[in-house]
Amino acid sequence: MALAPIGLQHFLVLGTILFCIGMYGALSRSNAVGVLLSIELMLNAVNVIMVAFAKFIDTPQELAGQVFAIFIMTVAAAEAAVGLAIVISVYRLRHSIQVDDIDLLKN
Amino acid sequence: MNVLASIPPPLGSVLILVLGTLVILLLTGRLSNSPTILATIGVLSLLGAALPAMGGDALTRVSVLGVVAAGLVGMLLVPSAELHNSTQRPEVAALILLGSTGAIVLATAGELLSAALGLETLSLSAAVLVALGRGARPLEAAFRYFVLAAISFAALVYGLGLLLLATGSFAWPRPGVVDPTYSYIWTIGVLLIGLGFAYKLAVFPLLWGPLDAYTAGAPGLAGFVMAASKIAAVVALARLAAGAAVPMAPILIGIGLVSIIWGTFGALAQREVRRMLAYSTVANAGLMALALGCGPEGRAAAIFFVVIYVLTILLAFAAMAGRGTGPLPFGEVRGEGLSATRALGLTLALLSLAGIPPTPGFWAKLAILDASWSALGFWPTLVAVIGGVAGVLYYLRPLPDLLALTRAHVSSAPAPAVWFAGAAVVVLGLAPGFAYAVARLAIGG
Repeated sequence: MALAPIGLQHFLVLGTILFCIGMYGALSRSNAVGVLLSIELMLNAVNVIMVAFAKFIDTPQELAGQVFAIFIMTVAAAEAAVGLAIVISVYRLRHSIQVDDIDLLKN
Repeated sequence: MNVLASIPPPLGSVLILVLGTLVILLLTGRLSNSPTILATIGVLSLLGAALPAMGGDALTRVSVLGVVAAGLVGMLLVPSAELHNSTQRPEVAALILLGSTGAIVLATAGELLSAALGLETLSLSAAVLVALGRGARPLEAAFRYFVLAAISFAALVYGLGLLLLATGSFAWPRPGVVDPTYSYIWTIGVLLIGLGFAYKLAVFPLLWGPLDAYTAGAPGLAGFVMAASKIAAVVALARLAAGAAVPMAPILIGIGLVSIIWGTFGALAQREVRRMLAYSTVANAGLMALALGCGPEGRAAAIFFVVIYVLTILLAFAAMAGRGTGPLPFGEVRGEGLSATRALGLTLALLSLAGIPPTPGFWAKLAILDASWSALGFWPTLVAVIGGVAGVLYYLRPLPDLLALTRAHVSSAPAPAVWFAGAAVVVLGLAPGFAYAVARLAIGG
């Protein structure tokens, strides 16, 4: 049985599934580093879609998808740096990176 | 000379702000012990950034001047900001300039890709500004603010991807340019982009991060974060709604109404001033979202409202600056020892936020209600009216204590930020018609 060639729809579905897994993780993980990793997964899901667009879609801006993917990688790096800095500072004060322990403002 | 003349006005403002940031960062070692010189460099950078915007269109002028006003109040409060480490004042000043840069880019971007970059610059600067406050509460608030900002940014860029698929470009949405085959993808993309912008407005359900940031950050810095974010978000959402009214308008009206109800009940239940102000900002964001869904008149009313609201909330936070990052219970306002100037500033801000005539807040709410009545009719306007009336109940709770403080003779350091924001609120109260005319011009009405 011959498999259907991989097309744009497959990448769209893959990217959407990865994005949803990342969002679920970001909202449900109890470890702060896990939350940051989930956010990275969401951004990388967008990268998958963007590179697929660049390959499969004819647009006046041919490189838009690839340039956008590089743009997102740069932003994700900055985001990870700031996020980890905040998590390390939280750890120094609370000796924990469990999200449930970050509870001073719960009322 | 021709090169300078060819720089677009918002880009000129951005370049000056980035230059100011670089100067401060290069001189960090020298400026950490000279807060006055530091604030002076920051203020000059912000004033310099306002100049190129004068050559732009009305929307650019309103956006840049609003953001610059927020930055000025934040910068004037840098010398007295309650920081975890006082040697970090230069970093704080640089972050205010960077945050202002992001807000200006978000509001005036020619393409959505630039708007996303502005949004992220503003978000990261805001999260770090909140995190630098004294104690553990600001840090926890910064973490939550950061996580939700990152999620909303990811949603925004996912929406940008869908928009690229549907239209082949990152241009701001316009009606009638979408291939019918991709119309549903375009709709989802626009809604996700709107979600990213709406986080900066702090409407339901994207409110937990901003709520904590406004509650626990150092007051002066939290005020800047709130003000710059709201100006940029309202302008960006107005531009988005202008080009994509079909999916955006009903969504904005819906989340606006829910935010008004949620914010009002939340604020009524609070027992301390800053948490009450944070919840009330959700109700006010709901009013703005409601107006943004009401066509051109509504968008003009939202711009008018956000300018007045931002200056008023800056006055409130400037008046509370210097007292720490802890809660301020209603029963302990009198014991805070606020100077007469600060107590008077906070009183004026709360009266305006409550919409008591003839303060500018009254005219701002009236403009929103008028737009809502014209576009949506009775029931949505009734919800907005009830939200506004309930505001009187929670905003005026600390008023007796504040009025007592205005008569007390508590000495304190000069408060230039309170004077600046207070003067801006008084001027807007004296000439609301002019501000509304400018807002209409900005929307193109």
